[in-house]
Amino acid sequence: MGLALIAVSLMIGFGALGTAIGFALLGGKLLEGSARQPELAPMLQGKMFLIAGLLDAVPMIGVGIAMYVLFVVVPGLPA
Amino acid sequence: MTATQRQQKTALATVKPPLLKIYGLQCIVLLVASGFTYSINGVVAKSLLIGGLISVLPNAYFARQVFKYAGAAYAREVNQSFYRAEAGKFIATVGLFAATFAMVRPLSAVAVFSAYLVGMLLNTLLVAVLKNTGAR
Repeated sequence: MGLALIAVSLMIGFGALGTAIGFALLGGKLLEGSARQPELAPMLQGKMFLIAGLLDAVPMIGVGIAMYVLFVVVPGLPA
Repeated sequence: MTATQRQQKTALATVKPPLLKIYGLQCIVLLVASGFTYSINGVVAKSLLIGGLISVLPNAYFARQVFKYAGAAYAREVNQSFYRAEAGKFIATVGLFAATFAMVRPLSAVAVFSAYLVGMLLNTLLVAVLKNTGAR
């Protein structure tokens, strides 16, 4: 049971970390791009929205699996 | 309306994808799939509906937050709203998954994850296809 809880915390933690790094890079590039060519800022925002959806798809599934382990698998394990 | 507000409105109109159309279409697809499955298996239909809603609701919140501002003059606000939206989406997804697995019985986990995955892919696809058709 302890190992399952460690697995859950790793899945949520690394999911959040991966998303955070990805968004930090994405946000930095948006600011850089907007500063270089202000007329492209709205287009960059639209593209960033599209990429953001792809970026956090996999970590979110990991988080979902973590919740499944936490609420379905762990209660069934012997203490 | 000041010149800055006018500029902001114009920028939002050019950048904003038709969010209502995107998320409405996703809900319709979800309801139709769930309705068809209901005649075969009620538990799978319920799980499909829940999985799809876990995908649609946080994504809709994300989109609403992201397109609060637009334009180079608001680059900092755009960035901040992106970060806030992502944090909110993460928390909402964790909460919805936790509530589902803790409270809904019986449940087909495979159907929940399948609907979630299809919802995410459909979201990306619809944004890519419909983003140039203008805001509604």
